[in-house]
Amino acid sequence: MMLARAVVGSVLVCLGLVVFCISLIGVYRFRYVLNRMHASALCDTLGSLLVMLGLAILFWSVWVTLKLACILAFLWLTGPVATHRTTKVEVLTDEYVMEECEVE
Amino acid sequence: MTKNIKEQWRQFAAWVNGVENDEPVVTPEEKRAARPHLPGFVHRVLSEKNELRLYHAFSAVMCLVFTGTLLLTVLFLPTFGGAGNPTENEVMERYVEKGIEEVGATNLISNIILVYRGFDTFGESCVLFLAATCVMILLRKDEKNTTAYDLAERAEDAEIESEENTTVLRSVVRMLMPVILLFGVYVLLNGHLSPGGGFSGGAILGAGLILFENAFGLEKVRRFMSEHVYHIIKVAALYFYGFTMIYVFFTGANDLHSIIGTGIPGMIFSAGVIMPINVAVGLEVACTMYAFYAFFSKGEL
Repeated sequence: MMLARAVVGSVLVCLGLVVFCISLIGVYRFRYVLNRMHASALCDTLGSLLVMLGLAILFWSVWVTLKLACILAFLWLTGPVATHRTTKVEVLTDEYVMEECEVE
Repeated sequence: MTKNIKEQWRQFAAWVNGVENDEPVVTPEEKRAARPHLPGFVHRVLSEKNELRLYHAFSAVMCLVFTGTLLLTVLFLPTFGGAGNPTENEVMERYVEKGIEEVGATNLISNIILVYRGFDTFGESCVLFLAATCVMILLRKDEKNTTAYDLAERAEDAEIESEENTTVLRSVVRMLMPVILLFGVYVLLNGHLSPGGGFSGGAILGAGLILFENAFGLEKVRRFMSEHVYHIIKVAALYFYGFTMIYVFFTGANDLHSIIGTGIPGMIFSAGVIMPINVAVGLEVACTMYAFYAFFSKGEL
């Protein structure tokens, strides 16, 4: 039981780290702000979910799980809103936004 | 084989850096050729190649000198944990052993920064106060230094803000605001029992205020935090802090009986002056943070 928990928890944390790495590469790889934002929003939601889930399984205690759930709720509430606001600023201030992202 | 790997690595690095395939990859030689040269006489004396060599030699010498100096200093440092070290004195022991008994806070850090080293923290609060005052002097916009251009700019900003649809931000802030402020107050009031205290709690409160201003605008914040309230809070907090510290220093230095007891360590009303001072420092920091933001973005509170 202990071993299974450790293995599952570590695997989840590592998966979360992989997601973080992918979004990090994406932030450098993409050229335009909105694409970069898309990549960085990935680690806000999926990455933190995986890491928190892994930590909850590793610690296996009610209070730790509750605290992690609070942190996750905070991150999920604020992260997308921050992304949304930053995107809005870009759309409002960039004159050539229509050329940068062609909407069909 | 190795060259192949190198080439692949460079391609991968270029890909991560966002270089498209049709773009030419800038080699280090080209970069070097494109950089500005030393002006004037150096040019006349040195050829281009020698100039580059001079650069390299200089940078290498600088690196070596700095590294050597630092390493030499390390050689003369006292051994870690040695008995004769200047840090190995009775002060640290006293903080740890008698801190709870003498001051009463279970958070030893707050014992040290607010009581044992009260002078220092009081100076820091004064620095914060001074900084906010200077920012106010420099950035404040009132009828005397507002030009027509400023007014037009402000009107444009207000128009953009009124057109903006901030439903997402507002609903989330409505949900989070009480939690953030409550957490800030908790950190303030528990500064003597758990990690936290005036500076961190004040930072949380200030960040919450800035968030609120972002979502609902300056007018809504002015309902509870106008410039008048700001002045009252800031000056009152600093005065309270100053007079409390004077009293503590006076009674402590003259061995007089102080009316401020230590209480039972671990209770919320314990540790004498630490909790009220934490609250004062927190208010000071929160006001400073919010004022910085408001003055930099709008020029007024």
